[in-house]
Amino acid sequence: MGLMAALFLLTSCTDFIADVDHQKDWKTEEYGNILLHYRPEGFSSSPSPSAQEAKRIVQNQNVYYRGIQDSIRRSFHDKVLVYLYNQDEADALIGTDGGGHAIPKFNCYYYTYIANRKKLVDQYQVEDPVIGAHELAHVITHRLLGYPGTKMMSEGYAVWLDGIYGGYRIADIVRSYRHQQPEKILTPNQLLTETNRKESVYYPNAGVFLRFLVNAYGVESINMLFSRPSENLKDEFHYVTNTTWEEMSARYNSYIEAL
Amino acid sequence: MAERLHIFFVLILFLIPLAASAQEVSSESPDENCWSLSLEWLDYRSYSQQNNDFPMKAGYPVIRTQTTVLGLGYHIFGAQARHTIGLDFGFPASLDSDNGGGENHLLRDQMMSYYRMGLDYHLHWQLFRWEKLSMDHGMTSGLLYENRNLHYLSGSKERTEDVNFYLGPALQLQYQLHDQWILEGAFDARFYVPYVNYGTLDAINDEGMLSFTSEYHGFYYQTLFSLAVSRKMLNGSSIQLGVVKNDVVGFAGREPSFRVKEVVHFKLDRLLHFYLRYTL
Repeated sequence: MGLMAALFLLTSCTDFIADVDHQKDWKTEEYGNILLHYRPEGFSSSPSPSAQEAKRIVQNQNVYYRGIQDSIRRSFHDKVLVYLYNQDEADALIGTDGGGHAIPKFNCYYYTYIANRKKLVDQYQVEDPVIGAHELAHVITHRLLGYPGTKMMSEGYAVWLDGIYGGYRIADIVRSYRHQQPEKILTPNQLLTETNRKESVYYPNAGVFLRFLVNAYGVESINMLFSRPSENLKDEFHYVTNTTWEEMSARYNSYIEAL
Repeated sequence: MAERLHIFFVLILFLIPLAASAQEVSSESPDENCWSLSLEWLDYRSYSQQNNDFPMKAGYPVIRTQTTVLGLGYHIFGAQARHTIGLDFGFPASLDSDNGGGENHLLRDQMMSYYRMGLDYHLHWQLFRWEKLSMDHGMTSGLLYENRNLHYLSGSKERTEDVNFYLGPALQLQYQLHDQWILEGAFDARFYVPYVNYGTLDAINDEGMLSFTSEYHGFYYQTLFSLAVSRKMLNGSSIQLGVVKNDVVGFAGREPSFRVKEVVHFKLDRLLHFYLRYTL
């Protein structure tokens, strides 16, 4: 009986693993292909975006929406749903209070609203973006190119298309690593296999690597590799670009040195 | 391989003592074997992964539908155990979505978007009987087939089709309300192990071209809680009216594994079944 009671308690409820958030207290702002859900003013002790800021967010996201399609030379027409959480609730509800994550199958992503962000102008000439292009890039690339077979391709595309990591341009981060901490420069082989590296090291390296691949071999060729699993990627790369992985790695090394 | 053996070992460990103890308690003469027919209304909700970290959070948008399910069952009453074999077929239904504000911004209203079939086997032994209360325990196993087509508003599609095998423990509680009326509660825990599950995902772009295809192997956990009331008829048949809360959580990768590197598919589903069953 004791065993059965323990079994019952252990297995009795999937809510221990995943419960449903039925909370519907959202304001919405829609423009073009973006539908933003954000918290009303005074929702929690952390600030919520103003209506004017919500307008600016959806306008900027539409700039990225077009820019991403231009960069990967594919067309996407579905609406993307953005859920923007206040910072004091984000960790419990979306698992982070410093960024977000995308669910491409549902054409959506979840993000944290941070009122005071680092001032910058990104590669799309957007000033001080509240949300960058990273999560939107995940949605669009996964839907158009398939489910990624490697973290290198998944994050590489998103960071390349965003151009920014942690408020800094990715090329500046990698340049800084090259000068001050060369052990943080990752080779193509390391990007493929050492996927547990610290995010602040892995992401900028993956973004710069993808930018190099696209510039060197053309985005159509690299798009074909997006969904390939790591076991086949080197051979597929050779097949698609007529260049061996080793030749490409040497070329990438020179690219990093000249960056 | 070691992970697979571990899971089966844990299940067997749970189930063997249940079977052994059951041999000692059953004393009633068995009923006659019989058939049952059921008609069910199913509410299906498949939530988005709002929080990927443990404990996960299922959230909006949610993909949903309602459909009718027909069921056929055969019940075998042995001296020690009761066996039930069931076959359920859910009629194809269209899917829509809710962004949290009741609006659908994801999917086209398209028929044949979701359907399911299940083949289930339940084995129960009586655990104890006290006055009007009795408790059975046992195991459940079976196959679940699901076919889901997400017809996005742009015209692009994602089609998933999977067959999954499950195994798990089961409990059933009965209370004799009256000579002819019985109140029943039941609980099933179902483990879907990736090494024996198979699914395929096809993504089709808005020009109708296949843009991505992959197989996947799901690792899911499902719990079913049910509450029902039955009435025995004079001719020996019975009618049962019940509701089942059916929750599924899990993910699927390209290779069968309990730890998935790149998730291809996931289920964060909440289903509610309202059924009427006639046992001949």
